[in-house]
Amino acid sequence: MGEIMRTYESINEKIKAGTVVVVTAEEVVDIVKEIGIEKATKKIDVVTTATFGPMCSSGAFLNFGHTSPAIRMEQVSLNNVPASGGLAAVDTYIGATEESSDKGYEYGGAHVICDLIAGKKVKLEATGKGTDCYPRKKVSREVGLDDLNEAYIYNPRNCYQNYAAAANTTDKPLYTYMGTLLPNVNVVTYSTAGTLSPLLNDPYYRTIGIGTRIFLAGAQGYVAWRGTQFNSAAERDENGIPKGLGGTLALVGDMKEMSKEFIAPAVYEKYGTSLFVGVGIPIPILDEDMMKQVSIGNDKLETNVLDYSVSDGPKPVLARVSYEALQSGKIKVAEKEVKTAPLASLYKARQIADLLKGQIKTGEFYLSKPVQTFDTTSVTKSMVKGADDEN
Amino acid sequence: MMRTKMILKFPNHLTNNPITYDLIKKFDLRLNILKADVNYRLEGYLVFDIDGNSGKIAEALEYLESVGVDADLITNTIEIDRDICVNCGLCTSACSVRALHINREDWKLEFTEERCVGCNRCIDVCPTRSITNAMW
Repeated sequence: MGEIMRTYESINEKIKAGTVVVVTAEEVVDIVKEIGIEKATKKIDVVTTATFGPMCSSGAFLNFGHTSPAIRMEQVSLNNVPASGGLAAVDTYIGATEESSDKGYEYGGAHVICDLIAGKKVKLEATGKGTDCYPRKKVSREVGLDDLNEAYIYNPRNCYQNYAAAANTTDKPLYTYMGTLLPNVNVVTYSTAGTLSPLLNDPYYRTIGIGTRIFLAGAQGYVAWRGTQFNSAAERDENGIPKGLGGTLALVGDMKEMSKEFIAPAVYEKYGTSLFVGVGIPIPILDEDMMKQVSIGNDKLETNVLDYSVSDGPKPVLARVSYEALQSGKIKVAEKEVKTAPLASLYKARQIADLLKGQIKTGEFYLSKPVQTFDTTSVTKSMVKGADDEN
Repeated sequence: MMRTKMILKFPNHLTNNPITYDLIKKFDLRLNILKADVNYRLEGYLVFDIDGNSGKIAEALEYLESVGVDADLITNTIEIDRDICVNCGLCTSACSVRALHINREDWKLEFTEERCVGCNRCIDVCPTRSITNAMW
């Protein structure tokens, strides 16, 4: 690691003084090409990263407040979407992918969360068996975000470091969380935002750790924990970028501060409901090493194209491609030219990176040093083999 | 005489019938196939530009229905609700005529109506459900 030339404290002082220099993770690529690592490190204090992609591992904790007489909510639904009855009397967790009993995956947990953020009322229905302390057995109310005591998004997993692109080698369409994959490798879909993607800019988790303040769907949220399936021991290329999945982040943020501009329900054909979550993460340029990482462009960031027709065992790698090629709209897979299509919105990711840049410059957003950083040795395990497994 | 676009959707068991031939021979229609998509096994469909007598076109529609083909005239294509669309770009994966495409400068979704053949595959693919068609 290079000599420390900047601290969180010195950056925050510059934010306070209004003299901080912030650019986005896209802009920094060209700046470094022009003036080099050394000068760019001296000049730039913070680089903003962002992503706006679908993340199934999303949901929200809600507290409804007590009724009179009180109820212990054991079966809970919001607009007919089941929520957890497994917490205290009027607490619940609603998962983004949970489907409604009347509309199926066309209206799920993600829709409930986004309706609440958009200021709409949702119908809460709950029952309990009735206890001495919670005698009420049934409640039905229209509730809005303002009626709730607490409402916060908790993403057990978001910001996959480097997600694989998807294709289908069979002669039938495949309906997946990577979209509808046309037969005979007629399309490749991909989700990672390339050079804007948070964890591709800090591949060894030097500045993104527990307690890092982030932009989460318009609110100021935090990295709460490592994300589930945190696979930091992934094989890495010469730039330190995981060749495959890599790390993930668990994120938390207040729904009452969120904007419907930066969070949206998603429905994937014959698959289910998911949630687009807008995330922005500022990266402090502590030293030249940090600048080197953030200046890696889409031409040097690569991912695998996997065959999604294989669901038993590891998916075969059909091609290794750069994000520059993926974003160009056409790639080559086994000598064949194939159209690419994104799942995540680069338009929204750019908007978030720009917005966060503005918030830091105007002193609305201060950087926080992680209270605990992540390891680089974790391996994601599969489930133990069972007798009913096919191999 | 009128000129219109027609979409035929047909189940797998009808994919071997010479429906195009019948339309030309029986109803004297001038057909220009804009799109044929039967290999995907999603739902076979054909999209034509049609020149012909309006009465004959109406008879052709009745004939198609009678043999089990779902036929419709395309009077409009799709509509995109820009307030809901997040410009993710997944719809472009379903659009083989490039009516829907992402502008690589600003990464916004663009729709070129003249290219759209009304296949409507994008409607089911769109994750935010911002694409609709008033016909169905």
